[in-house]
Amino acid sequence: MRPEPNLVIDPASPVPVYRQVVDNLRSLLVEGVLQAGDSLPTVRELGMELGVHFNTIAEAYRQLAAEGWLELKRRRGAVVMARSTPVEQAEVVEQFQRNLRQLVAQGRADGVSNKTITRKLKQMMEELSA
Amino acid sequence: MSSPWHWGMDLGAVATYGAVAGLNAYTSRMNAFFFFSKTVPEEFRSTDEARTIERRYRQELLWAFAVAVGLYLLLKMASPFSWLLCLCAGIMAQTLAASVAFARANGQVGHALRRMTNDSESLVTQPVSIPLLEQRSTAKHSVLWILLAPVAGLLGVYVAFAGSHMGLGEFLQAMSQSRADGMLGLGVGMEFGAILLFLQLKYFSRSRSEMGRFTLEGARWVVWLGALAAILSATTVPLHWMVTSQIRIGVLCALLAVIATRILYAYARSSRFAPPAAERGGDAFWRWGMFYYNPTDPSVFIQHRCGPGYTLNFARAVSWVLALALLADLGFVLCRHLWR
Repeated sequence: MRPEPNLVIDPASPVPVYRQVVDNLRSLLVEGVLQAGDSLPTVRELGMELGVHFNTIAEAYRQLAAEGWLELKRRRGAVVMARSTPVEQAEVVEQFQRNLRQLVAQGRADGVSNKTITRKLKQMMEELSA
Repeated sequence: MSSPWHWGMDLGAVATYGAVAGLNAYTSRMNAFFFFSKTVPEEFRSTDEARTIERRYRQELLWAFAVAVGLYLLLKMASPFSWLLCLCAGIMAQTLAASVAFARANGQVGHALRRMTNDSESLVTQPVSIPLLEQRSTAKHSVLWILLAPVAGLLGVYVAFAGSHMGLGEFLQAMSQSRADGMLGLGVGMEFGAILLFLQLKYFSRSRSEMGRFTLEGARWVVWLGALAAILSATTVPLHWMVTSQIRIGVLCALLAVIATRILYAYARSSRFAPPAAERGGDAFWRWGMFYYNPTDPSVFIQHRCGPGYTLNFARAVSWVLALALLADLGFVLCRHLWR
């Protein structure tokens, strides 16, 4: 039985809500917690539940639709699509490396040790592979 | 003035003020998630400071009760106003005093929390978790059920009319001559009110919360009760049924008893309903613990933090229009009453 997919938003975070929604949903999609055919709430429903403007949710849904994760349906929310993993490209890998470097540097600056960073990355990869 | 009837009315007024005071005391602590509309850690309720705030609030409620009784007696003895107007004036004064007491308690809880945590922001910014694949009520079915009631009501009236061999003109004339009892007006009013409530909850508020769903069920229930009352009442015209005043009062009392039971049931249940996820930790949006103001929230109707019922999001212009319309309506009724 797959775990119950929950969207978690932290109002205290400096990361914009739209970004949090995109990151959170993408994690659930990659981990397989959300599967092809699942219907997500409409932008209005989710906006009301989170207490944010529906355009914020619409923007997040649009981005995931552009990435090929969601199919947007008028008045019926969004449906998760079956998506094949794209072929690895050198530019994408480079961009990913830049992002990861920034993230690791931020962690190091906040006091997270190299050992913990390595352990967390390994743990995360195991979870995503499972 | 000294007849038993007048004593009974005075006792009724005092009992009403007592019930209002009791309800105020109950709603301040009925919800497990909030204390005087502030999000507090569980251990806060058992602190001496929390107990002191609550005791002071109850004392102020007693003062509000005394003010209401005093104003009622004063108006009754020294003004030409009717009993109902004196009663309403007392209730308004009591509600105002109780609201001030509540706002004061809300502020005191805020100060206590700041002292406790030394960081009030940590309490108002808890992460929000929302189930994505939650089973939701289908809009089509709920709209169908609420719209079927007036259709059923009209069909019921038509069947009664068609079976009575009464001409349409005669039927309408009989209706206009008030041969249909007051149940018809009450029934149609209930249907209209329930449909309005349904539309508010369905399209302008967070109807996905547990309390919202419970209230939607109540609206469906009231609309059918209204349809039944309208059918029963309208049927009496073409069938020439004699409805005595005793029967009318009996049915009316039964209807009101059913509605009152439902409201009390909602109060009892509301303590168990978790508020919507976005509400938890949203203390900054509740001014004086009573008025919701959140410019980023698209909802117009917001569930109360304590108890059943809904309030308005005053960051939206339409909420001010609605509130002013309600006040103007009350003002009109009051002026008309005084003028008469």
